[in-house]
Amino acid sequence: MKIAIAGAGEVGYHLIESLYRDYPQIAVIDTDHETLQKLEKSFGIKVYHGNIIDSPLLAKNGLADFDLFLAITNSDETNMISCRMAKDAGVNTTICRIRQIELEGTKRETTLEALGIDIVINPVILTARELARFVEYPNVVEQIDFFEKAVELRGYKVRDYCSYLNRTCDELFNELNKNSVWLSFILRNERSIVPTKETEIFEGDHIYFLTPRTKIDWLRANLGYTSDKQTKKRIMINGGGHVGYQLAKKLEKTQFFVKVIELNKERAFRIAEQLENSMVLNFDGTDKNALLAEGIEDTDIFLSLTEKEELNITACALAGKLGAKTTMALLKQPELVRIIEQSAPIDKALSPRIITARYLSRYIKGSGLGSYYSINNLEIIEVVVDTTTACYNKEIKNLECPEDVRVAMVERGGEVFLAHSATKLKKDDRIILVLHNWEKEYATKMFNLKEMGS
Amino acid sequence: MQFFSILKIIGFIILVVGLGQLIPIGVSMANGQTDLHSLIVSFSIAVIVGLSLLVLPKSNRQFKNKDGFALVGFGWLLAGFFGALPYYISGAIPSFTDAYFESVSGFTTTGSSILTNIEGLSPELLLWRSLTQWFGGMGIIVLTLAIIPYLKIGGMSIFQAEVPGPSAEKLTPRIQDTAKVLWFIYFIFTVVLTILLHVTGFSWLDAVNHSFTTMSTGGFSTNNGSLGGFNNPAAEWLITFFMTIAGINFALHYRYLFRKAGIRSYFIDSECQFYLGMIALSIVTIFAVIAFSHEIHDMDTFRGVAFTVVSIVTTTGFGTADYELWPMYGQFLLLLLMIAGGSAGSTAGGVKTVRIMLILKYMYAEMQKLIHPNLVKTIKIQQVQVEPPLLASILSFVFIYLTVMIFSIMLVSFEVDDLLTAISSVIACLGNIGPGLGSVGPTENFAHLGDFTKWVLSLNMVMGRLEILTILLLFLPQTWKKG
Repeated sequence: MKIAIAGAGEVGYHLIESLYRDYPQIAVIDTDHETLQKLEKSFGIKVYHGNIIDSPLLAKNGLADFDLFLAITNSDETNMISCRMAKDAGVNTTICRIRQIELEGTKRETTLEALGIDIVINPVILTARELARFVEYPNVVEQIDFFEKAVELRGYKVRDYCSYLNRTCDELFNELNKNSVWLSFILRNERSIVPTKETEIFEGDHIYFLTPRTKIDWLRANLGYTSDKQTKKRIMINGGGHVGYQLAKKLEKTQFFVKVIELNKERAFRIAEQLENSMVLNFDGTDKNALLAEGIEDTDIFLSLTEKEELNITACALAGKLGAKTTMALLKQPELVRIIEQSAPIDKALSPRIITARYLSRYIKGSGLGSYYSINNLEIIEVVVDTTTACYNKEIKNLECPEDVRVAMVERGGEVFLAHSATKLKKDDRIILVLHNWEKEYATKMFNLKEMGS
Repeated sequence: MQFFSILKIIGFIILVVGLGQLIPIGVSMANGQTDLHSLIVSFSIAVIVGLSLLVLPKSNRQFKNKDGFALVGFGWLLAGFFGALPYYISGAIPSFTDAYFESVSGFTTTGSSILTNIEGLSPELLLWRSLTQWFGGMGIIVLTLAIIPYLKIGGMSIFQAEVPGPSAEKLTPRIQDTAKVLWFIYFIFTVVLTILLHVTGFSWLDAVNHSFTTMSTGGFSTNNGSLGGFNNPAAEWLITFFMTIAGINFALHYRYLFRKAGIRSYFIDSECQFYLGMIALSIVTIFAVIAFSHEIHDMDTFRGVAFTVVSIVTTTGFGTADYELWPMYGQFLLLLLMIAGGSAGSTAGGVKTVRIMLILKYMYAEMQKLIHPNLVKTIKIQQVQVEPPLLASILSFVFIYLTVMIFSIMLVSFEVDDLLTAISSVIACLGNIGPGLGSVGPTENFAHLGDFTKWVLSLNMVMGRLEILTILLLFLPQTWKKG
């Protein structure tokens, strides 16, 4: 598959980093010469210097043999126009990053079609969604749907009060199997481990389960995280910008008590008009006395989501010191995320750019497949079995799967169950595979993995 | 001031008042012809004056805001004058002050009466009395939904968007279109109520009279004992229901009847919610208090309470129960409801529910600001922000309303020596309710008050009807200066 990317900013860089091995035919257009050189050197991809609109790629037939065009420059307008031009230049699919303008769900389908935009990626919405999930379920680190929402991939953070702490997987498998929950992998120190019977669970691990939707409550209780479902949390959001506003809008529909702090008076009035149940406050989020007056010590989660990352770090550090139970900061520079999370007294740091890049990467890698999830070198893939598939009509024990490829779950006629060694794969079965990507070749052969455009 | 243009339109209003007398004239000819002669005389006077004003030259100059105020103000005052002629000429009401009071009470849909023996009036005069209220109601609908928002009186312009019809920049086409469709709704409701009242056992004449005064939230009855005199529980429930309807914004009726909005549209409208909630809460608490203190809790009492509360809050003023026998709480609550009034855009008077609601919201926001000094709070209605200037004009309206009320009480107290009567008569007239408390209670009337008091109250009725400021402006010297 050939991919053209307009804009080599942070999102572009991270996206290319995660894609270049699987998709060597990437072309990047940007105005910044140095960045392009760096990209060319590190990843060996094709680069085009110059204005995107002016670029020869967007001339007639310039993209004729390309499958995907990503417009991810910093300008919404450039992105929108370049998508139109890319469509005219012959590309199949366009993805457009739009930050400031809310196009989703506003009955603009015909406009988007006219603009040649197939998919809109809004970093603000993506970030707000991720933040909202964290606020609602602080111990959930991931949530991906499989089998049309019948099954969910759920990642949990292991806390000191988690009932799985320091237990070996051997003890857990039995009970999990009974409830059709599959412990798919463990993320420890940025490495993903496919658990065996001896694997022990430590604090700080992220454990990922594939669980039928009906078993989510059971799993939460089994982990000892029942209190996560607490509905009356006090949330304070510093910064009523795009992300802050979207988050408040999402959260005020729940039973949370939401306060939004916005320094700009005009903006504060604007969001106060649009928000229904949130309280909008007009002061500086790093003003200690004002924070105390608003009851920072009783706040469950303090999020600083302004445009300025240094301000976010300061505000979170201050809020944490004044007694906010959990603090989260929004950062611009992706490299800062891990440093801040590890060294500063801030519980979670997020970068919209990373979120966007990860989303796009998953979208591209997963296109052509049912549902898809990848982290590090681990992939979770939904596949449909038909008569031409190599695994058709075979029992799983006869597939000679390598250690790092597992068939996790099967959906047959609306029923979901865990795969056993004796399960025979039939036509129209849908299965979830968990595999390390060095075994991709085997998996492609055995399960007939399709890729977009290939 | 465009005196000619104003007089020309007032001439039209007078002509309508005159032509309206044709209806009682018809009834008179069909029945006993008691007051036929005097009705024809007053009809002729009104038609002649109206026509002679109509022939005034037409001016092409643009109508200014203050011309609008003068037109509306004098329109109502003069309609009261020509409407009083049948009573005066026939001798049914010998004092002109009384006749004017009765007529203004009609056109402003107040329902305060100076008649000690209503049943002594001839059927044609009784019909004329009810008809003045029905005409008044028509005038108010146009006034509150088309003219007042346009003139931006008392922050009523928030309802501009609610008004059906094209929102053209020009005043006239807008008023005409709005008026036509709303009058149609008003007419339909009146016809339906008349038929239903006849079914419950009212004679056609009584049915017509009462549906006229119910839909206009006026409250004139043809019986000395008001509606209670008929001893007809079915009719009381029926009128309770229709009074409630008449106190709801007519724009909502329009959406329900013509825009297929569904019955839910009433319950999601925040003013309507508040209005219905206020009625329900008042009925329940008053009934509970009566049940506890008097140990009466039968269906008749409940019906009396429900009827009275609705009658007061919609500023109709029909009476079935003598609420002066209620515990003080009930009487005082009624006094507050008199000030509150019905929904904006209905035929009800008073301060209007939406303003009360906004003020409560404003008070809540002010208190919250004390707890959260940096709070940014916008006052919203139906999820839409009420702009601060609009909010300010609503607040000042309520303030002006209360000020006028207090000063009127002071004026009335020249002749009235009982505080309760002084206060409640002003509240009842300013809010266009009808009966008050004390010696102007539901079983008494306004006949015993002095002439000066009656003139003050007549002016109060017109002021209350025209959102106060319209009349107050006429006392402002600038209104009469050029430029």
